[in-house]
Amino acid sequence: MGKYQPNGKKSIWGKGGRGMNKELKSAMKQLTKENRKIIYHMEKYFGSHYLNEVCYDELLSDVVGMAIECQKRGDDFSEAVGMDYELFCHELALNIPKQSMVEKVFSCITWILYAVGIVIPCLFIYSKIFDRFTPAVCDGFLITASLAYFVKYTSIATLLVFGRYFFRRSSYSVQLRSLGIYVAFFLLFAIAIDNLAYSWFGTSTISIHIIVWFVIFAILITLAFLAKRFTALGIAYSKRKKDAGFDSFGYKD
Amino acid sequence: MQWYSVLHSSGMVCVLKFDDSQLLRGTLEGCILKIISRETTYGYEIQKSLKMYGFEDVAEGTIYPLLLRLEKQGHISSQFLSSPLGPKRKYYSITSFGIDYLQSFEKSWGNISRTVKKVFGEKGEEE
Repeated sequence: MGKYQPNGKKSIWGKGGRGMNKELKSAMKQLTKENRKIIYHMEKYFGSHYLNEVCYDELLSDVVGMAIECQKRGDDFSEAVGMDYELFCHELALNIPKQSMVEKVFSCITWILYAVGIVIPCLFIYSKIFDRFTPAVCDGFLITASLAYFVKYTSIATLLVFGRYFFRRSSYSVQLRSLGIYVAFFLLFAIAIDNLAYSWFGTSTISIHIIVWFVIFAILITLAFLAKRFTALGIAYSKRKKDAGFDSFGYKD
Repeated sequence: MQWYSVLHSSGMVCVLKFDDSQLLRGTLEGCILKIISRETTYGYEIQKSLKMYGFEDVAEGTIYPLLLRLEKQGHISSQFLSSPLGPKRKYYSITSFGIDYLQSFEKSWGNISRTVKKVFGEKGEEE
């Protein structure tokens, strides 16, 4: 019995996580509108499962490839998958490793870093353009405002992104209700933080150098992404080894 | 489940047709593995081969999850190779672990089918 060989090449940069990379996007353009709708439908279903990122990328690539081939043969892709996409996706998801807790944590951290990282540059640009309509003061690359002002917007951005993350994960069958709850909660939170931030943080001000902020967050986001990716690769590799009955040295038990 | 009507001496009677999906579920994996053991192949070719053998209603959507399962269990391995129809295509080949599994499936299938034939054979003789 030979040593375990992982199936296919695993790229650290992968296919952009939950989104599609350029290759997949150009493959999607070859599909008809009908078939694209089916794929997006399936993506939504898979998005509500915590699937290992690396294995999910491969799976999506397979499904899109299958759709393109069906199309080029002149077959109906919806008939090929058996009309019930949910059942088809369910059967596929059963065989894909799930995200570990570590992956989920890094995924959340990456999203929060995106949200917080982008807010301050947005406030900076807004303050530069609409300097008379903002409490923030811009001096070169420095933005100065009350701490409450920054906390308010970073909290709202974090909730926006975080909420979207959970909405996508949990809402396949109850979309409208989930969306309603998410919007209602978001509005309440935004109103609350708008009022509470100033009472909690008073009038203390803070200055942020936008370039330094941008560099720090670019590094943090890259580190979080790499950590998430390495974890996903490790889980995907070890799961396949375990399922095939190989020991930790790569030899069959 | 499928119902079909039968004309009985007392009038029309509805009879439940045997649901062969469970039977199919147990045997399709072995059949797919056998097809892959003959040559490295891909999903659509496997479906065509199955159709040729008489599995008329098996769609590519049924085969693909089974292929994933077989791959997950280490019975087959896959690799992406270029395809004339567009993006790279996933080709499957059997592993040595898969060969052992196939041999054990063939043995079990032989035993079960012989036993079932005996049961039905006896009933046929009595009638």
